Amino acid sequence: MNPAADKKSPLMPPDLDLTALSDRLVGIVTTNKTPRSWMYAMAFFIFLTMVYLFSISWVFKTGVGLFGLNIPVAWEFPIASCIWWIGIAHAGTLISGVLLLTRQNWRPAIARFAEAMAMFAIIFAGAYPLIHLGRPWFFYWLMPYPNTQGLWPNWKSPLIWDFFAITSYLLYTTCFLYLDLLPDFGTMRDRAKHRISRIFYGIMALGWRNSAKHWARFDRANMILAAISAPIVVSVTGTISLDLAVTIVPGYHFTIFPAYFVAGALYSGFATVIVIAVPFRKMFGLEDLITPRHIDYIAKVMLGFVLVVDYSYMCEIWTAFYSGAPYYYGVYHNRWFEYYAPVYWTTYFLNIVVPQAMWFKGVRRSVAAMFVIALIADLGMWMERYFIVVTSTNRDYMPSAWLAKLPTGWDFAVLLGSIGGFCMLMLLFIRVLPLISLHDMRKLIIRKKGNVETTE
Amino acid sequence: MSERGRYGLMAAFADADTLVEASRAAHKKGYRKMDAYTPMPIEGLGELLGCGEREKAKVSWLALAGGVFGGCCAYALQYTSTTLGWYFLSGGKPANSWPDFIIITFEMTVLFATFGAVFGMFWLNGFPKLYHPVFNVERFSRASSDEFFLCIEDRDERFDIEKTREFLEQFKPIEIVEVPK
Amino acid sequence: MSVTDKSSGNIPGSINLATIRKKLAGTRGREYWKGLEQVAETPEFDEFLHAEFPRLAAMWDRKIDRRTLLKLMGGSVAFAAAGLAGCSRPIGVIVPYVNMPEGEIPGKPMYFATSLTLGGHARGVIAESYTGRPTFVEGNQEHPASLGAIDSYAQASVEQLYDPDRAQVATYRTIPGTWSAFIEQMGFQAAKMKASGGDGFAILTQSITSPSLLAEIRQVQKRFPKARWYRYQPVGREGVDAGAKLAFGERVNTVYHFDKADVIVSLDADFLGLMPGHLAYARQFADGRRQKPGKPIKMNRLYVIAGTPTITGASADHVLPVPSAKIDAVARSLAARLGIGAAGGTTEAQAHWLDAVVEDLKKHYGRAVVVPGDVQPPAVHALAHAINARLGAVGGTVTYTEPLEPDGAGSLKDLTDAIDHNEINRLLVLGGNPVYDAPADLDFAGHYARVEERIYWSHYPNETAYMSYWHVPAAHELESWGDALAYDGTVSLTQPLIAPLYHGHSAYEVLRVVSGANADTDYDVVRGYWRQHYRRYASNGEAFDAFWKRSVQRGLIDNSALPAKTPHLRDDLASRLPQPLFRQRRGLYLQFRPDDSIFDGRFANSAWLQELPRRLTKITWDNVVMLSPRTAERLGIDNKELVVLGYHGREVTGPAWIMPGQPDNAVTVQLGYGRKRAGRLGTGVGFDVYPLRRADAMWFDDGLTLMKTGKRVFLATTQYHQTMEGRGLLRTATLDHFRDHPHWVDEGYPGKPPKLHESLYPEPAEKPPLEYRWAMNIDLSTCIGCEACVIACQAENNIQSVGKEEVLAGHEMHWLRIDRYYSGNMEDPETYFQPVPCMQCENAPCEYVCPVEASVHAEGLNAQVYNRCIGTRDCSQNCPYKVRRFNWFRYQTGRPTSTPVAAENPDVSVRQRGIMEKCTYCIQRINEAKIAADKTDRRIPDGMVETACQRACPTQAISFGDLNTSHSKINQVKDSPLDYEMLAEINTRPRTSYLGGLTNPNPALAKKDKNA
Repeated sequence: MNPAADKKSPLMPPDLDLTALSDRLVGIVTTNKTPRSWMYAMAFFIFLTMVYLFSISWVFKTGVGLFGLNIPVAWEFPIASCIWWIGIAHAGTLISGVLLLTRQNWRPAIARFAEAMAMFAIIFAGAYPLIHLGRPWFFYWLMPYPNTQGLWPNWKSPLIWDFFAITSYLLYTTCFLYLDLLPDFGTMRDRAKHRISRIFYGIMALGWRNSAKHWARFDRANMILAAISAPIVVSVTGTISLDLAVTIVPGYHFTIFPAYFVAGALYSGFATVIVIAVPFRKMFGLEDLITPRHIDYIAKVMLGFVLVVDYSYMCEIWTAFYSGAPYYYGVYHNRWFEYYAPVYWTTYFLNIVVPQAMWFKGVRRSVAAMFVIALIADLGMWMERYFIVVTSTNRDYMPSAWLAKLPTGWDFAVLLGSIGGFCMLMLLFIRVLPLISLHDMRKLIIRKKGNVETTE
Repeated sequence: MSERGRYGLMAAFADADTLVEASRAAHKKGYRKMDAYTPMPIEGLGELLGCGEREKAKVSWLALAGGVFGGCCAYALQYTSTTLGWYFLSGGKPANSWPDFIIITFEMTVLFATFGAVFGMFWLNGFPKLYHPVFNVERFSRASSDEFFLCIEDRDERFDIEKTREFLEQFKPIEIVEVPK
Repeated sequence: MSVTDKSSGNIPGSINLATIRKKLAGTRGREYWKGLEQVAETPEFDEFLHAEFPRLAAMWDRKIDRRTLLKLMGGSVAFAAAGLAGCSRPIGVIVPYVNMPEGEIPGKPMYFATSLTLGGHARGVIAESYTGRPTFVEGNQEHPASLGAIDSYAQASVEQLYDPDRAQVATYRTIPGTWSAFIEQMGFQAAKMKASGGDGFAILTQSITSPSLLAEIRQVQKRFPKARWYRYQPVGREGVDAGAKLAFGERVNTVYHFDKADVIVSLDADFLGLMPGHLAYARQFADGRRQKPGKPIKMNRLYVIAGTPTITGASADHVLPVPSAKIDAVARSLAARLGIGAAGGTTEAQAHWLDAVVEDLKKHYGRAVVVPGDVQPPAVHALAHAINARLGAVGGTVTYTEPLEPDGAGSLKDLTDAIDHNEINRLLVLGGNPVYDAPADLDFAGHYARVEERIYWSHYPNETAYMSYWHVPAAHELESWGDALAYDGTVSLTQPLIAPLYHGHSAYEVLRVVSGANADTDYDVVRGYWRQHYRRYASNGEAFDAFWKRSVQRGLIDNSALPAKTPHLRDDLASRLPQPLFRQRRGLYLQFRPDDSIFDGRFANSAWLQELPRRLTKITWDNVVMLSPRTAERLGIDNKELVVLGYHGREVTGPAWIMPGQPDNAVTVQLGYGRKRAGRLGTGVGFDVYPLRRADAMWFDDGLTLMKTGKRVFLATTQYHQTMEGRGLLRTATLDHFRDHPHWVDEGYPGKPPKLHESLYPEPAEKPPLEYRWAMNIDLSTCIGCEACVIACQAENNIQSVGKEEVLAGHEMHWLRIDRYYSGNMEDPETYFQPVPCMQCENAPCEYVCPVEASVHAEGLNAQVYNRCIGTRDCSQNCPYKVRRFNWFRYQTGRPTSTPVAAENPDVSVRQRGIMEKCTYCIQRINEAKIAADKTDRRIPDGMVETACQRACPTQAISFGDLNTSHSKINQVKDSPLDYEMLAEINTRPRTSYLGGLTNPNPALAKKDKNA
């Protein structure tokens, strides 16, 4: 491995050997004494999950009018949140994919739960558009299936593209996560205490037995999926941005959207990795495995992406005024001075000013500071999605139809609920499976010894 | 020695280097039907143990096939259902508005490539295969965490219980066991 | 999400008029704005905040018992369950069809000519009936007062017919009784009365023009010589009669002929909005403004001296805002300039204005007319008669006939006086609602309570009903026989389309029963009357049956219009005029006006009318206190702030509304709100102003005081944002500008759609090539903003009302909306209306975004497939015209605002919760015509398909037809140089286009020309 890294503070304790590694990480799952903090957190998030389920049931029962929607603002919280969640998912994919290709040795410690994060995020992202339907019980009309009317979905509709993008993204992530888990299922099988869990892990491991042949093909498959990760990340958020970009609505109709959305997605995604990593390392005493250096690396990536986002902001404004269309001036007049201006300016503060703190090593290395910045980043990106979705249609072509709208309690209930559900699944995950990839970490250890070459 | 017959002879090593050394030697000695079990992938082992580049390439080919299949099906579905199927004039766009069809085509390509890779790998590795003789070795459970195993199989024509045992002994394994079928 | 209120002033969303002035001063060229909220660019934050949170609160603390909660939790776990709970379809009401009446084809509508009255004056309508169920009324082309058009009141009669809150059974002291019991008791008392010659018996009616009913009343008076007849109409026309008496010494009925007029001066007259015959007047007026292809460019000119803004003022070329009370003085000055009487006091701005007007009037001798408003005092009417005589209008633009209502009825004041003298012990109230709408100073309720025997006949168990002994439910006009006179005296017949739904009975029956005569049915009475009197109108020697059949069939009696007569104008009129009013003003002027939507309160329980945006304010479900911007500024009163109106010791509180074009120091309030017993919908809507009304000042008076409270309320207006932002959506110019620049509609506005080769795609190739290409055009010069089209659309297309709360939330459902723009200054702005239906774009942005092909192009129309829609709402997001409406909740049934199921149009599907809907160009009518045409294997002839809005429009501003039919009306209209498409530059290719609006200002008053 690159000698430079050795001079820096180590990414893992030097005395950590294979046995200790397995004991520690598997121990987190197999131990009988769950951390109290986990218990409390779980209780709280289960409550939020119930809030989520209750409110969407009530919306299904009563009508989507419960949300802060009207004509012209026929989309708001749910769509904004959908885009936001998808964005969060992307970081997980990118970490386990692109960082794998580029042999980043800070990847293994965070890849696993990042990947899990991705999967759960997609689930909640995908749920939003369905919750948001006027007649959710007909959601399956979005799928192409042979029917008596010979009707197929309208392939020209960006919403159909979405449907396909999100679905395939979910399946892809599931495959990737499962693939990565396969060897660790083997480990769990071999170390599980109870017969039940042994059977469970055994079945999940599909008879994985660490054979060199397995590893060879496993590596190849892993590489292919990693290679796929980049295009899928770009295409999924890109597609979702097309929901807006292919319309003729001033404020939506910007060609820069796909790139812009992807950058924002990754920014918020990496932030979320920090938001999750920090409490977990505390909860399970993994400070030596997920070190400030990891946080530092993530911070650098965040900084990179947020700069792209900020550039896109300026670029968008320039496009609007360069277009010479009064409707586009209107959009910015609206965003700057009208009803939603506070949202807009807050967003700009959160996404342009605050992130600059990450130029400083001290900030990047300070876990606490980065935790706060990460939270702010998530909030900022959410608000950005919100004002993009709302401030464009609330004042588009016909002034007579212009109307603004505040979100209702149901909007917040569903949003917080989805966050709660997401956290609950994460907590569940780390009690069932190792939250750090065992085989990836073993590779690091072996590589430290430096005689044999492990594969990526 | 069980009546079920023997699957092979297995040696457990403490570290990867010895295993690699042993495998290389075994390969030089002409053993072919053998397999190594390691907690993590180790570069070059595959080649020694008969899972070389050609073998791995199969996974790639399957991925490619999946991708091509997915893409073609996706476009074909969109094209036929709009042109041959019920024609809708929508937004003044023609039936075959190819720019609109690209995205779904792309997504499907990617998705099926993924399937090709993953399920191809399963298939080539013969998953799911919940029973395998090596699991009979009680120590073998450590193969998934911190020990390295080399198993020379009975069906190898150069396999001879005594000679092979001697061969393995020279690498100072932690233990050598016979793996019953 | 942080949103703060950033409005000026301490009260959220308040308006700083100084800034507004500055803004307007700063504006150059023709800039439109809408309502002051806008000009001040005050955000509506708190509006929505509060609009939201009550609703939310309601949602949150909606009681959920354990069981429901568990159910929901269960449902939550399996979404499907919850989903299913949501998708339960509404249960329709079905009626078995046992034996088929002759000539009845189920599913095929039958049409009957009948007539509906408002204030006693008839408008002829054609009622559509499905298997004996009236569902829709439209104008009767052959009826002189309707000419095929209809107003919102008549349109809503169908909803009123099925209103479940109508009185359903005869009650005695509010306890359900029976009709037979009523007959019995009445017969008994009638016998007693006979002895006394009807002493102490009185009848109180509203305005009645019905010959047969009047004959009945005369019968009663004959039978009981001492019986008395009183008449009261809250929206009465006493001034008109008194004015005629003053001018001619006799009562006359004045009929105007605006088609013959080149210059029209309105003295506070809303002849396009509310005067008897307004539909006919609107048509005549519009014909004088419409530019006909190939004809020379000319149009009439309208001056309005307006006590308060009306749609008549909005259509005017020049408006002079003057408090109604001061119009007397202005009228005198106008007359004096024509050599009649002495001038009243006018400011010199008014004087300059009047000079120009008089010049114009003189120039058009014989083709000019002056129209006094119903609310004006006798003097103004008398002067108007004199001026018209002087202008040579009589016999041309004005004709006189015998009065429509006979004399001989006492006023309400006479009645209360009689009660004071204990001369009345038995009172039959025939219609109306005097306990609610009588002038407060008469204290009718108090007097009524003192009458021993109180009998009441009306549609609703309303305020009066609760004070009456006997209350007999009235049969609706669509349920009974009758007759009435139109504004020109034409006898219009009413025939029932359906048997009374709620044991209703006609006025005839009640009158007969009460007077102890044999209770003949209304049919016998009306028919019997005409059997005696038909000869006058029958072609010589025609048998009665033939005559009757013919007349009932056509809904009117041919050439029964009253003949013109020329009453002799008094020579000493000038000397007979009373002293000018209000030399010195005390306090502010208080002005009453009937409401645009619910008139005098009689339509208070109609969801359609309550939700119909008021013509100029665009407010729904409320009435307001209208103030001029200057007055508001002077008193420091803020828009939507609650103010206390003090007048003669009485106080009423209502929200202020700063009304551009409202004369200074004049405060206008609308009648008909604040009902206490109107029904589930009308009760408690708005605030009641009748307590301020006095018998001696029915329409206006001074001495009003205004007190601000600092509390602001929420008014559900359907337009929030308020400037055109310089976008060329509504385009207008002056006639002269049009002469010089025939193609002005395209000059200086965003351009034409892009060229074909600029698109990545080939042109839309419809397969097979379209047989029809339907298109619409709306003429902005003749649209008067009466909103008849909006409610006609609602009635035709089963559009649901949603209630104030939902309108506040921006959930209103009208497919067709009328945008209102102002231009110019706030004191007397120009007002323009722009109806906006679906544009039926050929490159429809709403279509390609729909994932399930619910919004597709079919037959060249932009169709919305309801049962395919899953409600993603992307179509609305992408609709640049924002004409799509969404069913946010289950509006169609189970809510008080839901349209009665029986009133729904069976040709149009009723939309379920969660789907998008929009204007379809009345595709059901198109298909009906297509089927008819296919039978004969011909194309649909031009003009055979009329959309509901087009049919309702009094001014025929809307044209509709097929572009593939050469020389079709629509093609001719679209060839006009005035034709333009809204937002053409974004390449949506709208099928709906507009004719640029033209105004014809007087060069002498040229300040109005904004094109300079």
